[in-house]
Amino acid sequence: MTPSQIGFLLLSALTLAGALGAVTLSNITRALLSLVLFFLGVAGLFFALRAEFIGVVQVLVYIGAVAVLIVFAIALTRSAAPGSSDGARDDLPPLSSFRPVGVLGAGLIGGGLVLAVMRATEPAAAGATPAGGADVIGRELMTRYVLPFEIASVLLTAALVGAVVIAVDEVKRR
Amino acid sequence: MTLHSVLILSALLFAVGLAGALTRRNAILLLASIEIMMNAANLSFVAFWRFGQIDASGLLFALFTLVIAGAESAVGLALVIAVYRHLKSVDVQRIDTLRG
Repeated sequence: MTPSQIGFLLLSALTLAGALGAVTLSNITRALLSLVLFFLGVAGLFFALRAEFIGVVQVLVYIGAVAVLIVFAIALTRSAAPGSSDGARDDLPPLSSFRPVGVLGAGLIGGGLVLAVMRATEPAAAGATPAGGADVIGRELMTRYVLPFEIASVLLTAALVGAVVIAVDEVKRR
Repeated sequence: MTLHSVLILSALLFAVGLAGALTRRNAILLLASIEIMMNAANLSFVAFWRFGQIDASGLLFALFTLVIAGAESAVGLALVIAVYRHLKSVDVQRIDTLRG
């Protein structure tokens, strides 16, 4: 096994472990940290796939913004009683009979996806890295994708202003 | 590293995220599982670009998905906070006012 294959296997094992931890751990703080590990693993995979710009943006946006948002959401939704069922722990017992159904359904869909991938013809091994550095992305964003770019900016502004409006505590009138 | 291996990893990660979205009871961790699914899809986009199946559009799609996922998680978490303010709970099983 070449070193690059071992590296890829380690990265995928790390990413998969992070995802499994985020999905199964009952302590919400540990689940969040596992999610951050998953984001880091995906960023590492982006780097391994020679998409360095997307890898850096992944770290900045997902770990720097989304994970921090989740930390604040957890902090703002802590129940007062430490032993209550929806405080630091995600709820066990599971959702009556739904948990095995959910896991089975996800397993079926995952199996179907893996099957679809296996049946597709294998393309040639990775050739030279196609053009896709920051300069190509910048040029595409300013020429071919300028409209989605502007719409995404407007959407981001609207979403963040809307999030503040939804989450802000109403001032009680006296 | 072949296209097959990356796509199979992406499929497995998507299945893990889906299992989390279907079984988690805490609304915040439900949103985290949805983020896992979106990251898995992004991974397959970048893999298709890397192995020459599509041009830089794959990278740009991944970039826009990143942006949209950030906006969506902001709004989703704001909604969870607003629900908590009324119900004092983030348990998805207790959000059933529209049921029946």
